[in-house]
Amino acid sequence: MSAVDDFASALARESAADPDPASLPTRLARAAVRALPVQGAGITLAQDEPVGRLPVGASDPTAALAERLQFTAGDGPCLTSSRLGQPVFSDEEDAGKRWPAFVDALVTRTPYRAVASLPLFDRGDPFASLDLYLDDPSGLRALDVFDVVSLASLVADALVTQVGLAAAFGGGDRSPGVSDRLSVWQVIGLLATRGDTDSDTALSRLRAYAFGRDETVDDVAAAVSAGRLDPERVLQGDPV
Amino acid sequence: MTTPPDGPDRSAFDDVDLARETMQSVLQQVATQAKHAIPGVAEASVTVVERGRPTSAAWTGLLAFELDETQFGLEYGPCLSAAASGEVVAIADMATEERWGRFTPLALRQGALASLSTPIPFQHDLQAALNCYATQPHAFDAAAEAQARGIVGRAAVVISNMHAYDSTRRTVENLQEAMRSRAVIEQAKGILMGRAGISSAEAFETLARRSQDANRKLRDIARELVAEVTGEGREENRDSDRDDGADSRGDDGRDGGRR
Repeated sequence: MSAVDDFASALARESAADPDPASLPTRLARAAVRALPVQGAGITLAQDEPVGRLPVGASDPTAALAERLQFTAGDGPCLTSSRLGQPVFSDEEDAGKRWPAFVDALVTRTPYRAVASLPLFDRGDPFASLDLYLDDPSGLRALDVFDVVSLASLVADALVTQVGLAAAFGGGDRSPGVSDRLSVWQVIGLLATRGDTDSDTALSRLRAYAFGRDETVDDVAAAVSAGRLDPERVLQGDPV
Repeated sequence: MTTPPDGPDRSAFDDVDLARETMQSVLQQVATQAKHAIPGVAEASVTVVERGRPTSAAWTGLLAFELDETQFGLEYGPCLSAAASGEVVAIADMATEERWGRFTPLALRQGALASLSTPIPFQHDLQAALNCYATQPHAFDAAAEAQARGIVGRAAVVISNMHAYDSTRRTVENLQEAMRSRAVIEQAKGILMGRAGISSAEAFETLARRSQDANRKLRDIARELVAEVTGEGREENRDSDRDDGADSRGDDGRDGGRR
């Protein structure tokens, strides 16, 4: 069976087990992991970056963490592929040179050692990306580019033609990835008004604070939201 | 689906990229596949009847095209019957066939000695059939009929997805608009929380009240607040007046940085 067939049957099984339209992006990510020699997958909507990145589905918590690490680092294969509108394949050595901050965190906190990132298109315009994570540093060699690109295309079609994506987003609280990112946006507004600065700078402060502590932007924002962390400390770049 | 001539890399997108696939291109593939995959097919065509008006939507050769056109001229024939009835219509031997009295002699003269017309099962108010013509009588057996059904079945799925795509492709546009609006509303809530030391729910209530008082959209109120504080979104504010009451099309091109 081809990867595309494997993907279709894995998706059918996932959908039978969980028919909730809101979980479509998660099911697509899981089916991608079943169909390809990869260990994790995530789907992220990208719009008005750097602030506008919304992780709508991940195959498992480790893949979700990988996206947060990339959002925290501020650069990585996913951002590069959506900027270029081209697939990006990168192993640890290559990625380490291109996005050292992201790769340090990735290698420390996850078993992933290589990444492939595919832009997802709607009528020629990229609107999201599919990130694939591999444990094996040389695992990209086993990845058939044709399979991966075909599969990304199927994922994009499913997202565009099925109601799932809107449900996943509209539900908001259903997916921890989505609701945590909504909190990040809220905390960006809070920091911007307290620090008399703009949204991008507020995000940079969040990133710097998180980075110094091996946390993610999502963790730090959650702490601010919950009142566990004084926003002034984030704004002042409180030393670790 | 067949591989387009411009190589496997493009076909990976084109195969499934409904945006670039047209009804015409799918029907052409149906005719081409029928000609190449079904033994005995000399030429094939696809007839589409839309609002009672039949057209030959795709064909592999002149023989098929002309025989379609003949049926349209006569206003009857096997492919029109198949499209209208939804049943397979087979003419095993054009020379002995008694239905469609004026069609069969014309087909014989063109060299078509057998035909197989398979309806394409659309869910829409569209009737269509795949027509296979042979230069030998009894050219099509049950296996050929099954192959033809397989081809039209796959095409029907592609085309029905295409219709679904047309009606739901705005999902992504709406979603992008929703995401942008949500990002702005969340930031505005954060701004109010930071200013007034209120909770997230209270911040939302404040936004909602301002929206009601001003009789304006909540996201526009939120955008202004964010613009006021962060110096962003002024362009969006300018657009938002024009955008009000319209659909999300007004947003096209705003995210120029990403395209």
